[in-house]
Amino acid sequence: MSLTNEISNEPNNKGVQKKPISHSKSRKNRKIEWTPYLYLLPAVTLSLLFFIFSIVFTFFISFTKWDGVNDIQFVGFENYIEMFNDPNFLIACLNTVIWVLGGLIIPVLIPLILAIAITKSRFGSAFKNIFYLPNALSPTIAGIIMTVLLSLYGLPQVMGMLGLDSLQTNWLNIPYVNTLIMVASGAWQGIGINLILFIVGLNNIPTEPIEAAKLDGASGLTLYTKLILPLLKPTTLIVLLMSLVNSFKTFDVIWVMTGGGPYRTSETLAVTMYKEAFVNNELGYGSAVAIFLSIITLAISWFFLKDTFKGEE
Amino acid sequence: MKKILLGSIITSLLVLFTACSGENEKSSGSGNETVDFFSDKVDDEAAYSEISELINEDIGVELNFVGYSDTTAFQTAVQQSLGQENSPGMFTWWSGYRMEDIAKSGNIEDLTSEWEEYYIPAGVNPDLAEAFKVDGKIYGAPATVLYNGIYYNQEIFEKYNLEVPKTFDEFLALCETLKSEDITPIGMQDAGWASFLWFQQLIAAYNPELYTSLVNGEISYQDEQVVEVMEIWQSMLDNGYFAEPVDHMTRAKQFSNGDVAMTYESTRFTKNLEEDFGLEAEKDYSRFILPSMESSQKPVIFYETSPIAISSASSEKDNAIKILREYYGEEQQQAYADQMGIGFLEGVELGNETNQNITEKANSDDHLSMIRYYEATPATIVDAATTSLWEFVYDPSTSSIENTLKTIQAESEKAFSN
Repeated sequence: MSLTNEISNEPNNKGVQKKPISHSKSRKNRKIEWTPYLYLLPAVTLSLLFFIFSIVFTFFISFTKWDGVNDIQFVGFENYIEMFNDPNFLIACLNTVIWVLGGLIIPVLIPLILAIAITKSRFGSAFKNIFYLPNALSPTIAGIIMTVLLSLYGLPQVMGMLGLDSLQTNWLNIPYVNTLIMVASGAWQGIGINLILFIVGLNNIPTEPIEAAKLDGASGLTLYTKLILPLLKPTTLIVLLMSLVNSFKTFDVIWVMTGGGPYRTSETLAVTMYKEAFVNNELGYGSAVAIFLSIITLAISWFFLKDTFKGEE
Repeated sequence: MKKILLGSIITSLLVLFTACSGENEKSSGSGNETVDFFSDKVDDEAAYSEISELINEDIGVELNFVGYSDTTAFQTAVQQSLGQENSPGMFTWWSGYRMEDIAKSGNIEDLTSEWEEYYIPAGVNPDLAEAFKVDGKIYGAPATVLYNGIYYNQEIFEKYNLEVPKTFDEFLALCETLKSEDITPIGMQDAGWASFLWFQQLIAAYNPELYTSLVNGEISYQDEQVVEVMEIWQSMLDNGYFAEPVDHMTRAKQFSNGDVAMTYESTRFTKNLEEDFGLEAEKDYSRFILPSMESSQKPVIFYETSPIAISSASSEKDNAIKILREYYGEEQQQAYADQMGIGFLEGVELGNETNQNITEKANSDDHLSMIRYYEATPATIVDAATTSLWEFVYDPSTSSIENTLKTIQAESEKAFSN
């Protein structure tokens, strides 16, 4: 049975049975079935041109050696082999993992706690605006602000005045510590949007099961861990997925704050990809990193989305 | 319904056409023809606006300066446009090996005959052409020539009765005195590329020929002479002669505040010191060249000269060639010097005594002028060296010297075996 017939035979929400569509009318409809696709044509053209083509092209040049100017040389899997033997790539993988873990803990846990507190507060909307405000800044601007704040004449100088001489140093130049500082800076920005999502999720939870649970004596932490948080699971999954993907593709904050330095110790995969492709002009190698990053991000997204859809079924 | 369908198809076709087409003919609001000039030196805009007016009066072609504040974005924009009709007529680039890559691609014009007929007669030093030569042909014309040297804060020098060092030992003694007065002797810039600055200067101070052999791949980075230089650098780092690396603006602030007494920079730094911090040349700051470690050797002044290249495929190519013929006119070069305080043409007054002095020194027989490391050796070696040298600066030790030189040597062997 065609989808059209299936739908047409379903009773509508007023309980009225629709008339079956005759064979000739169906054929007529089939003639104009292209119309919805044509509506999509401009968007699809744009996607093909700027998205799908880019993916295919990136995949292709990941098997080549190309500086963007001279002729392309096919090198097979050489870029991928070089990538896994490159200590800078391995450091970038480690930093990406730190960003992902940081992106899961800070921008998910803190907004969740804040959302619970705000939904109970009388000044909820004021707090919502305050916490959402950093989200209005572009990550680049936020990065510049943090860089100035953490420069030798910023917070470290204040620390020196307070007698904490060991802290009067350029924090962003301390290998690996700078990654933690940047994770915190990035998270500060990410809290706002996740907070709003959690508030919407909490407000959409039906009141009946909560009231029933309260009548049964559930309260405090038990009420949240046994009822509210499980009911909030779809929102939590979306927030988790968004935070994960954002952490994987983090670039702007790092580029502005350390440029991946000192000596490439704060690079993530996204920064390595950019640096290899556009600074070192190794477009083939940069594309190999891009493909690796995309596969990892896709695999994790699939894992989460699969779980979400299963839940809905 | 037909209208909707037609609308959809037209929109899609428009998207395709917009994406695949480019602007071929450009003219200014005044109706004159214009030539796009891409540059990574965004501060030059005012100077080029004045030059454009002067050139326009003479030949009726305007220069449209497009400045990029991000070097990578600039490189990408230029490289992606090369070979296309809508590429910029003119753009700045880097000399030496960096130039070789784009010259060999056949995307930029051979300017050899232009040098003979126009640039040299206009007063451009023919020696500068060496930096733009690839396989015997000259592919660029100098936009600027910047000389590197050590800036010093005159107030600090006067306060502690310090004098400009004449020997390398005097320089080390000077650093020691400053250190004992609780002043960090040398400020450092933390930019990813900036680690080679002291490396090149110390190698050349040790022996200029060693530098030449090294950048040409004729001597190993693991040679004992190079190791000895690295050990000198290590002792300077261990003794606390270098401040911790900071961004460009913070370092300029450290220097102007007197938190650091010296810093190694190019002639362009004077504009920064004067405009952002109100310092005055030869009153608040001056400059000297690092003395050689051997008194019989001449001190080396490193220079960078960024070439202007012309895109072969650009529809603006002919006008770009015409503009470059006019660019070395005395009025045009004076306009640039007045705005930026730097210049390289004889007879042009720089308006900055410190820059004037170093330019004269560079042209004298008392000093050797050498092209800086960034352009003098293949880009792949520079990329590996700058990362490794930073690793050494942050962790100066014998094993770090060994690892750093081993990494650079491996890259050098790869680059020179091709």
